[in-house]
Amino acid sequence: MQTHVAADRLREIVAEVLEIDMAEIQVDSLFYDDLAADSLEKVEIAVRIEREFGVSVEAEDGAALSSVSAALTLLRAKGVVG
Amino acid sequence: MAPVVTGVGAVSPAGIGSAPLWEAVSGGRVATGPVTRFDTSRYPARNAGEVPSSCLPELDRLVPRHPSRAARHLAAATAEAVQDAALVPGRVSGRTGVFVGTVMGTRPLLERGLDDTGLTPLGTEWTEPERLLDLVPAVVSVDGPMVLLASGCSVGGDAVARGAAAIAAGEVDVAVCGGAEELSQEVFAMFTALRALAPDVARPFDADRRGMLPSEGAGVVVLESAEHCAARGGRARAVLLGHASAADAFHLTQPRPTGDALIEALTTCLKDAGRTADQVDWVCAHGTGTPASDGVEARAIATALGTPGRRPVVSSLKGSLGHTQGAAAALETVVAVKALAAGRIPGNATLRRPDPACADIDLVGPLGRTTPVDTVASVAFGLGGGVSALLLSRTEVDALKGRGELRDKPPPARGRTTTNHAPAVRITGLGVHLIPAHPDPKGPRPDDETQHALAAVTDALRGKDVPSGSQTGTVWAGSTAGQQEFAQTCADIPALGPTRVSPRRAARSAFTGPVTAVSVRFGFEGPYLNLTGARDAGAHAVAEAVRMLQQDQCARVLVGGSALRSGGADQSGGAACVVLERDQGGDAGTAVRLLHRARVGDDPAPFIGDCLDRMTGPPRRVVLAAGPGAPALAALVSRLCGAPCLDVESRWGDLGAAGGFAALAAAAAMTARRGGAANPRVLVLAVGAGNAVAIEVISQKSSGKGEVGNGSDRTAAGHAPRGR
Repeated sequence: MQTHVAADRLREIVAEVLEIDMAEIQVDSLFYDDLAADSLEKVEIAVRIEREFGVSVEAEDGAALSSVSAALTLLRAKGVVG
Repeated sequence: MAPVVTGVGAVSPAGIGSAPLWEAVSGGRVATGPVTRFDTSRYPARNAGEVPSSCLPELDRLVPRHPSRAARHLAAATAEAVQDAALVPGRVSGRTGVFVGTVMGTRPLLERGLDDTGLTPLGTEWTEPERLLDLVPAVVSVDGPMVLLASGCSVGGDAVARGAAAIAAGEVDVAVCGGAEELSQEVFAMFTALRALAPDVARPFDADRRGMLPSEGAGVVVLESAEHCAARGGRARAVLLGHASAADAFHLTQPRPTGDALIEALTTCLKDAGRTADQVDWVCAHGTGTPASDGVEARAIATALGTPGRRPVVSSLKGSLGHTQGAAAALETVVAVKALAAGRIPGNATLRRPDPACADIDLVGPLGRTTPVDTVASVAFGLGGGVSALLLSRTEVDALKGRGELRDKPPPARGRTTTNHAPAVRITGLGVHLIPAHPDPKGPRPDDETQHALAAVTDALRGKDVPSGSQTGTVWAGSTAGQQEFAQTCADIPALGPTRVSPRRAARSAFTGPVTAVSVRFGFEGPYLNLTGARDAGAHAVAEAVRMLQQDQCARVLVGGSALRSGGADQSGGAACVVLERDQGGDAGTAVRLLHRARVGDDPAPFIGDCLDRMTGPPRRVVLAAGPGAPALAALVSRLCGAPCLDVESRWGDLGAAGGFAALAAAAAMTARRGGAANPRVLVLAVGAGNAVAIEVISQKSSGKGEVGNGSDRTAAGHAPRGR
């Protein structure tokens, strides 16, 4: 999958979980600090990424999942995003 | 005078009975292990706590069959506790009530229809939480209230506290208090998706703790008034010196980092008991083994109970038993009583490397300590932010004996009810939110019960200055909250795989959604209680709220109920609530009096007769919530009371546990109608699962102050979407 396609899909997931407008979410927006997410919402995002991209996000991966850009890095490492 | 504990009973992963429980926790034995109850091949972590299947023959011998394992756990633990207390059926002179806590109740019955291919719902028992209590009357004779609480994992402590409150009010002489749970695959999947399960064992307060392990069982204690215990020659094991409840009012799943609610609850317990922090010999902690929660708890305990040169002595039983959820705080109370008797403090069974962040508490090693134990604090908290704390003492038993108060005495004189002389409580706000026929697309989603609860509370508080903080409590009742979320999560387990169920949806699959949302949104940090069951539950909620005010636990309580019924594409239901406050004197308004709670048999006439005797005058109207039996009962009630009887659900449909609350809300609206007091006195009756609750609502001449507004079915304007 191409990076920009994956980035848009990730922004959609984050917007859905946090119930905010997709336009508010930049690739580098931090879930906690910039988007006021809480830990339950962050783990919800991790589970949606698992479902959407067919990968498994371990607890250690989940901790590093701080932004859309961090999620892209994870998906690249899993070979899902080119 | 503080009530005494006269009997204990337990069912746990250690086996059936309080003896194997004590043997496991005092010996530091780990009773958790691989799950056998369901297939865990798709789960990354596969351990939990189960009542061993080898115990089934003994369970069959002790209690009747029942589809709910939790109901059987509860009945077996109750039977042991009653026997331990030497309460002989038919020879107990006083009144007996039952107060039971659970997290999921009978919901795990839905999982029987779960296999690799999908979910087939079997029967309706999973939607009837009151079925958890089915077997209790078979093992103990109950004539007083039977109350089912579902406030999250702190609920076992709440059950003990509400039993103590009923004894203090003179409503009952004996309170059978406990908690019960069965291992649920839905809960297991939730903690899997939350990445909160320990891979091997739970290690509370350890630097290497990796998570919790769900577990099951039941714990029961028999509480009695000291007078009743003395009069029947009973043996007191411990005195319940104090109890307290508080709310984090912070978040659905995250604990407030400062642990303020726990500090408040412990401080209140000590103050009520006239004890000092250095007199607490042991803290039986909540300690689940999750990284965030244990650290918050350790700091809060150190803040509340630490003294110069002395760190509080702390252990959690969850390394040994796992987290038995609704049963946890009740089992911990059983162990506390055993520890007082044995002079032995159970340890942290799995502790290897104490977390340096917990350095301000004295963590007991796996093998425990032998030392005189005179006073124990038992604390618990749950998802949603409820906190409960209990303080138990042994020396106080000796002091009572020394004063002759536990020697044989003539039975205490029994008034009809002492609640009649209790301080008055008034309704100072009323809010109603019914799902509109044509929902506003921008308004609350019609299928979101929590949003309806928030809308009703917003309505009740409009134009009022209701302070947040610890002087405002939240009490809620309902049987449908979380039901859809539970079913959807179960359906997702085979469809998506257990690691990919929605953790957020699953976290809302207990009964606590509305009570949590209200306490968090409005910052109510006072007592926190949630009730469920049949129609009686909503009226029990009002009764418990009134009692909290009469016993000075807080200055006001927001009490309400909600229900959501889906039939095809239609959603019906909504929420209602009232603000109750202690009478400040002089203000006119609407007063609420708890009249009577009892078991009713086939003939409710004697109960209704008792209620009429206890009222301040004849009722002008009766409002009834009784489920399917309501029309026949309404005719009888109307004849006996000589007043028209409104069946509240004939107007609003099936409301489940919220029905009993809706009856109170309807009565409040009737008495508050402007332009003459058309209905100055209304009798509220709620009947369900063989229990009846009666409340009197009285309008005093209004001077305009403290007037109750008319409820309406409008959507609360100004209902803010979540702020960011």
